[in-house]
Amino acid sequence: MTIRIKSENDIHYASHEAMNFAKDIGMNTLETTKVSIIISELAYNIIKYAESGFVRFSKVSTHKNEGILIEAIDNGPSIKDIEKALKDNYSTGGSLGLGLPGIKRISDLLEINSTPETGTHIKVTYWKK
Amino acid sequence: MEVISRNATQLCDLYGITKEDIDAIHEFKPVAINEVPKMVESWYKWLKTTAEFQEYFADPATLHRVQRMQLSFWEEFFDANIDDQYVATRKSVGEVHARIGLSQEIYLAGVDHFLSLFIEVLLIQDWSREKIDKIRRALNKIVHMDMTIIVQSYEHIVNQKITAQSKTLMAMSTPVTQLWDGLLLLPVVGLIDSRRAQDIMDNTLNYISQHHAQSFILDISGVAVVDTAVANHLIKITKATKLMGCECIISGLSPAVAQTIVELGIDVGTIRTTANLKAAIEIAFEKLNMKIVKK
Repeated sequence: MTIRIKSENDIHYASHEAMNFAKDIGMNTLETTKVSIIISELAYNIIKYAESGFVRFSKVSTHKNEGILIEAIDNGPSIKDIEKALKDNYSTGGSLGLGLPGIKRISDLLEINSTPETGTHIKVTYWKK
Repeated sequence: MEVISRNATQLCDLYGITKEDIDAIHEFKPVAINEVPKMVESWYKWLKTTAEFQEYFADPATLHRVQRMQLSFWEEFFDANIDDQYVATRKSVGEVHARIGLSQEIYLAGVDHFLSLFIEVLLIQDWSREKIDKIRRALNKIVHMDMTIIVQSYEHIVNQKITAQSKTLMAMSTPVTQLWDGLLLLPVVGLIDSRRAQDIMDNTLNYISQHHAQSFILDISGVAVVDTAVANHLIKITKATKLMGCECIISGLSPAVAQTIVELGIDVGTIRTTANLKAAIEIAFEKLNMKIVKK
């Protein structure tokens, strides 16, 4: 499912939908909470830095794992220093600076592609435990 | 949700409606317009069989008015003078439908009914194949354009309704209450976005200064999502209350929320938190040197 993110309302809608999606693939309360947090952190960053963009989530499975792939796509100014952005309490936007490092700790796989030309594409995988 | 609003010229561009199409419609007009009253009648015959009829058209005066509007709608259609006034009339049709809650289904079924009757009339005319094709294409284009305008304005009103509802909810959503002298409680249910966080902040600080509160309990057991943005808001609220000499206790942290906050790496060091409201009230009473005893 792909959801356009343009205002704070969209963040809530996206995290609500993601929560239901996670529930449907059999995740428990803690897992669905984590999924909804990942979505809302990513969506919040989109609004804060890129103004608008998309979040997308889909089911992924390997022979031993089943989980959810969450993506955030925007055409914003891109993340200048990915390494720094993943450090705790580093924020260029005056917030806690725990969004991306938090996602990294919560999730199983975090992949960031970000250049000023192509914008930002973040992929997060979270496996059902 | 924003609606991209096109003016009459842009709509004609979008549907490829040309001077040729308008001419074709004009050629068909004298024949078609004669049939419209009969079509309206047959449409209401069908409508009478639906559940919606009783709800919306049972009153004869209303029925008469709606039928008259329908006649003038089609008259305007065949005049095909597509300007901003034309678009505005179509828009208002959609808005009316949305306000009274008439389903899109009924409206779309109606459009389909009229379109197929017009085609029927068209096909029995003794005209060249080419002319008939031209008129048919023109009919399709303009009917579809009308449909888009109406559906879009319908959607616009529905969105406005939703916005209005959420505003009402928002207004009711920060009910600060005084539990005891010096003790305030605010249960938050639902979502905390930046606007609501600001509301909570304003309301709370005002209450604290009015009631000289020493303790303030913010119960978040009804908050589904506590991400870093929400946590940031909560931290700011507790800091501000502290500056006013009031201790803030956040109660109602569910196991899932607590675990997620830890994993996100949020430092809650100085904030007093409890698992439930009862524990928070006990702490607050302790601070006020009070105790609840059984009689």
